[in-house]
Amino acid sequence: MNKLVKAIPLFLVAFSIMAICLAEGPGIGISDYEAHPQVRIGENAEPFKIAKIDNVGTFNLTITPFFKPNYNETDAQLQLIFTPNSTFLLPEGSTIFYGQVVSASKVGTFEGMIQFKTQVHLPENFTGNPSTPGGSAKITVMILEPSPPTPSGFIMPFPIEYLLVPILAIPSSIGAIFFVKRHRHPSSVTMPKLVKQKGQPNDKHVRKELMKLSKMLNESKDAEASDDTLTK
Amino acid sequence: MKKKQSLIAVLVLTLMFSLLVPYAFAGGSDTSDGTATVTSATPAITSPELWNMIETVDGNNTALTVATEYHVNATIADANTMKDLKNVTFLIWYNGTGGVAHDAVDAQRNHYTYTWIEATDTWACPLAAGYIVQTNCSDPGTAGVGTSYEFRLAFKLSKVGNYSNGAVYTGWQINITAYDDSANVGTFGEGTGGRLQFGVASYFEINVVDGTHTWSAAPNTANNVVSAGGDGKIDATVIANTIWKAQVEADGNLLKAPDYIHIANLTQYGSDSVGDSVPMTTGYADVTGLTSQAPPTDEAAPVNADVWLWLDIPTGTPSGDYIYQFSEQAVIQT
Repeated sequence: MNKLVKAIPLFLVAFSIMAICLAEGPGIGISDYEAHPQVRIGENAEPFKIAKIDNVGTFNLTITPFFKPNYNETDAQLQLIFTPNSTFLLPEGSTIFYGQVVSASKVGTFEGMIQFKTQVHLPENFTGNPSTPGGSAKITVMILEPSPPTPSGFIMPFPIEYLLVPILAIPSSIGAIFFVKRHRHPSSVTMPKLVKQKGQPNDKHVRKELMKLSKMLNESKDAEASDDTLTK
Repeated sequence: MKKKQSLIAVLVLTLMFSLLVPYAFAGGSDTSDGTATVTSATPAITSPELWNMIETVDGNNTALTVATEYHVNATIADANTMKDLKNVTFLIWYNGTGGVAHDAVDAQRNHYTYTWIEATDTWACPLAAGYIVQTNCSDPGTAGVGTSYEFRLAFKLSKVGNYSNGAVYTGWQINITAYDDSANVGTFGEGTGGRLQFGVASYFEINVVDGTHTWSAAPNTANNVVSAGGDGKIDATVIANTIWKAQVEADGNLLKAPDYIHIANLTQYGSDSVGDSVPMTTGYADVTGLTSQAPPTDEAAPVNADVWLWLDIPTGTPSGDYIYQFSEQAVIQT
């Protein structure tokens, strides 16, 4: 019995500490990724990570994101969608919100905040005006000019240089060979330069003379043969 | 006679060979000591990576999230087997604006050295608790006979103090260094061509202790103190990892359709000074007295962000319960 009585203050202290640690009240934690997506007009806009939201309080929460631009919406407009567009979080629950650009009224930079509105699901014994925790995440969206149009019709399956280089190289090579042949200098070291002297017989003349000599030789052989026959 | 002499000669030769041959083969019996010196190989660090806890998302060059586990993995090889390793250090330091060099001393704000010690197969860090918290590291074992092991430093970023512009991922750097028993050093990180780095997303946590608040006052009264937890203010606490400010808003007029009390009759301030209070708005507005606030140094000890509210009840206001919603947020101080 005494032990039990002694233990009561300890229980009370422990209970108080637990009560402090689990302080009742709604709470959220927001990790802001400072999203800075770039979207090119005419191309699919990829989803981007905006923020992670944690329910750090003791009540259930419904979190809904809204885009709050830092610019005058009469000058420019940016339309975003969010995934999820709203979420219910139990205590210690968390979710990551993603955004995606749907449309933009012009090329340029759009800055603003994504505000996370919180609806607290209070127990029925709570009366009065709700005091809720909120959170915001920075966002900077860059809308870029569309990509330059690609020429319609036949599209080269490889860079144009792959075709141009051989086309230009072939005539160049032929020209180079022709040029070298035309301007080739015989080796002056191993072969003395043969210069045709004036008055020297040319090849044609030599060939003619040789043929004459050959004919004469044949005739003389025939004559010898006939003399032998006569002698016999 | 000749036969006898020949026989003696053969016997003599046989005797000589029988003596010489063993002697000749016994030539190797002389000692000739030899040694083969195996040199100590430098430890090699390969495949350094930064992952989320389940190792499905590459965390390198991204903004990490507080209170979330991440892994730094690396394969460390030593050709002399792992028992030749002395220790392996994983260095995480902040070198962004106001940061420090990689060889600075460990400090809670910006520099952490985690060391795996081969002799004891344990991890050690000079900082017992800090902005980075060591979690489930791998223990490769002691006196390992393999020549390569996977190492994993697991850590969490605390909710305070690590912010590094979430859009820039170079604020925090990671170095890995392996030392062996022969003082050979293998490194990965700054100066070695490789790099692991990350930013940290800003984090703001607000807990509104007083979940509801009320007034009970008569028409034509001014500066009625709010009733919230019995102390005339809405109590709230904040945990953040950078300089922050508190902002408040109302979702509209206090409404009891079709009657209402205009929101301009509700004023707010960051301390008990009604003369300085300003009208509440439907968009978030700074709370004077709760701007440029330093983040707490311990996530277990959040800082206060209490807001005082006063309400004027105009003349001719019909009786009844008027409802609106009050919201408070903590955001980065700009």
